[in-house]
Amino acid sequence: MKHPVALFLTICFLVLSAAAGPAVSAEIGQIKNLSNSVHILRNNKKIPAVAGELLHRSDTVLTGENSKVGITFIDNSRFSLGADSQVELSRFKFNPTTQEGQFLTTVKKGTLVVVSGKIAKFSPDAMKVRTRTSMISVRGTKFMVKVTDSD
Amino acid sequence: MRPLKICISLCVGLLLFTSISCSTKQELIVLVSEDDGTIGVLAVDDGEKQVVLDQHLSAAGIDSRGRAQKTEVSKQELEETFALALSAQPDPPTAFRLKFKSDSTQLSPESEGVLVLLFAEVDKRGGICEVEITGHTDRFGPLEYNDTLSLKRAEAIKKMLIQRGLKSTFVRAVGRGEREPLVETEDGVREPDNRRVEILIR
Repeated sequence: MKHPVALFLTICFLVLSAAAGPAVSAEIGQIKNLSNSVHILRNNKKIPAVAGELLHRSDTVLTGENSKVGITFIDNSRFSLGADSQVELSRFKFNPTTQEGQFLTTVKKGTLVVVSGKIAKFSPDAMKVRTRTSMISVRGTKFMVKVTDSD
Repeated sequence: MRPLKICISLCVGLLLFTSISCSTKQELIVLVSEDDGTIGVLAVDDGEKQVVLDQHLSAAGIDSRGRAQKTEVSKQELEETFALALSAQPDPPTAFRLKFKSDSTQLSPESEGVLVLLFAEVDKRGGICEVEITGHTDRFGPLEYNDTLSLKRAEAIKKMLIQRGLKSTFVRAVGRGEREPLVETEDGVREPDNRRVEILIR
């Protein structure tokens, strides 16, 4: 850069961004185990899931007939889905330094077993699960949700 | 008269049948205790009211009109309804602690042994795991300084683990600063036991 002031300001900006705290990475969780037909719906693409696959916010996890999947999240929450299920990771924010966060899951259909993690401990409204008709505030810890498919 | 009576009976029967179908649970939410007995709390909001669940097997059923009501679920019913999901539950994480020789970034002798166990755990999981490396400090120094220092320590350990051949592809370094001491102290107090790195294999 020609202008020392511009260069100086750029350096300041870079240093400040670096000091601003941990970068928000896209990976919020991981598939630990699965059986039969399990897919991830991401940006309108349907991807077959494999064990070890990393999940991003806004992903939807889909299971088919006689299928199941187990997932862990970076805040220590654990999910497992049964057959014919559709679960969207609608919103996920987690600061691992302060352990503040927000986690909204939408169960469109199927069965879900949850053990909540650090986000739920952070505040009573931080972790929620939405079904077709209800909003569940999770203060902890282990629970199960079944949503019958409409039709 | 008879056809009318039959008609009325049919109508009543149909109404009863419809009302029973309408009250079938469209959704079911059940709170359960964890293996160690811990029990949490759920608040289920159907848009008009809240149903609070705070005991093992306490449940809310939601009917086709979207109304939530407290309901009962037996252990057996629960195990049948959620059989597949229950069989896919991931394991809780395993934790490892690394300590340093005083005033250095060198690991203490015991920590070398801990590393062996850590690598064995990752191998046992076939590399399908998240490795979360969290640095901690004591309360000596400002909060922000300790946040940065703890993150630097975690990143150094992450680099070392990768150099030593860590198989996981999901490795994260986190700084917790002075927020989670092993030994409670006043602010500004040096405490070597709090200077450590905790590693979770998830």
